[in-house]
Amino acid sequence: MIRRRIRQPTRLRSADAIGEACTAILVKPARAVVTSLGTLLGVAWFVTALGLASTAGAHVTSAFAHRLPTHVWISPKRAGPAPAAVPYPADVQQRLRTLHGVVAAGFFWPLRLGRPVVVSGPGAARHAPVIAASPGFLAAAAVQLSSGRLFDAWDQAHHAQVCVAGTVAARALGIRTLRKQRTVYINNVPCVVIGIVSSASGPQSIQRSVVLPSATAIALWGPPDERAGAMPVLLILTRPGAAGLVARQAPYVLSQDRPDQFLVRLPPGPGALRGQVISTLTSLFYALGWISLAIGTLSIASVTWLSVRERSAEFGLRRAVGARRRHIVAHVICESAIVGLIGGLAGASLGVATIILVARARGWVPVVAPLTVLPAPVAGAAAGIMAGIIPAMFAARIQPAEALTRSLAA
Amino acid sequence: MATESLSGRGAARPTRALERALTQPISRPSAQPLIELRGAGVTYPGQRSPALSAVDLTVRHGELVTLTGPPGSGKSTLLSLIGLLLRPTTGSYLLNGLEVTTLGDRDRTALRGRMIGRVFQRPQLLASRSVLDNVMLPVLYAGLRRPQRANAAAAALERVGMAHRMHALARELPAGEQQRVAIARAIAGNPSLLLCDDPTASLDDVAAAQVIGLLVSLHKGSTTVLVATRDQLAAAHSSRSLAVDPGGSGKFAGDFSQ
Repeated sequence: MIRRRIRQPTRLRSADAIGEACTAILVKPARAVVTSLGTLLGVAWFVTALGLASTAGAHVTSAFAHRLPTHVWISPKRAGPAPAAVPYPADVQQRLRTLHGVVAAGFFWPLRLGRPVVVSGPGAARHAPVIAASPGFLAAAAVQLSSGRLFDAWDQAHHAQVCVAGTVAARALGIRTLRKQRTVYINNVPCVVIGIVSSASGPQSIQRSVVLPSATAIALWGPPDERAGAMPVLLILTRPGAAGLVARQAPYVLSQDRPDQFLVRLPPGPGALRGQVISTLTSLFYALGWISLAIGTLSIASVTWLSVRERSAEFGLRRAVGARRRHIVAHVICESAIVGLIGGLAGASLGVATIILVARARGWVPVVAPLTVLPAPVAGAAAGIMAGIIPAMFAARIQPAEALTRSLAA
Repeated sequence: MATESLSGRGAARPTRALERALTQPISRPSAQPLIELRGAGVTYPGQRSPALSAVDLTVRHGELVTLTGPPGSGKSTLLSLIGLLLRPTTGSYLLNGLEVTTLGDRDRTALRGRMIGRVFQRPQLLASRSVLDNVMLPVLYAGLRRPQRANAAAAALERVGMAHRMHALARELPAGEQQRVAIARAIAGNPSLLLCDDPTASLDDVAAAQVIGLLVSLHKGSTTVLVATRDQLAAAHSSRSLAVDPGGSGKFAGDFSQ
């Protein structure tokens, strides 16, 4: 017999606890598979839900892209001494076009002529507001004509007395067709109507107004009078998605030393709405994921409970040969944690597969954040640990003397 | 308290006495008896009459003691009491000179694991695990690493003559061999006390004779052996035989050792 030198209580190495748990699971692999099924489905649902939310989110983003804001508005921030002409550099349109994402840019201002009378012919006087605008503005406002043409750089350079009438304005002035030349009188100055607008984005006043070249307006009535509240406004048309960037960069293009003298407006995009839709979907998916994970946990807990009851003789034997209560607890929790981990791993794989299949079927691009997939097995293991706590406490309270009167199962 | 306390840490921990009890060299028989029960009785919770009442029993190192008596006479209860699976509700119990009645669960578990081996009526093997795995179970909780555990288990299997089946699954063995594996498991941790609760009950005569022969040889190797049995052969080899009466009181009074 060996001479005993014992200074410590019995112990169970953690590697051995895991090893024992693994062996116990491997003895009944089918049971482990069935037990982990709940966690598997829970985790799979979680990963699928989150992955589909991000996939659908990416899809919705691209679907919404054509509704992203494409217009940037810039106006001088405060009224200083009246500028000689427009308070923008002369080559403002060329400068802005060097910005990436800018499609067209131009400025406009309403003409306040006391009485912007527009008379169509020698009949009764009819009225419509008048706007002065650069040719670039017509492009930036995406003005489409039902007939005629837009004024261009030549008209601008020669101060041509021409104008384009908005749909509403044309109706108000009794102009239906340009088959014969129509002339309107702005403050008794005759202007030839060269185009009738069918559609335009940008300021809504276009449709109600008669638009004439800004150079012509300055030549006839002088530069925009800011005291009359007629400050010229820049309208920039950008490519979809570029508006935000252009809005940040444009003031520096206009004035490198004082970019803060401009007020930049960016119409709100559909981004907020989109975020709302996605977060509603995501929280719904989250809720369902939690529910199925909870069901998975309960299923592990109940099977572990049954298994512990069935194996009470085994735990009694372990207690009799030196296992402390904490060793039994560790053993049972290891078993349920491993089952949960297996479920989590399989569930994550199933989830990713489902995302790919669904995205493929819908023609979407599957988008899966690593942060939704990688913690999934950990979540499974955590569910297993939680599921194991109560059965483990039960197993630790098994009385070896009593348990060993029963036969060891399996 | 008849069964193992759930509180576990209720009792003070006489660490030095525990150390002494555990480190007592078994090869040098001492004057100290290995087991000393004084008026120890057990009443199961919820039962009026005691399963075991006021037992006085002294067992010295190296004895082979058989316990006889009809079923239900309290042999198993007595073995559970001696094996630290039950606490006496009355009286006291000194194991190798250490009062173990009031020890906490941690220390009783340590004593159980390192001093005591046990064999049950049924082999109580983990049927789906290998013979080696089963025999390694007690040394698992001794904190040995797997190669050392395998060595200890192989040595124990060698002693019971089952080394050739160590990789078989436990359920593949016949009952007699299973019981020999159970004995190997009981001695794998080199216990100084071997408790056997009717180990031949489910065996045929040949297997029973083998098992008894094994226990006798272990006894000759200076392990103290207590066997509850109806087997006459075991009684013949024992240093003494004690009869347990149902609910009997004081039947073990006195020291019958040679």
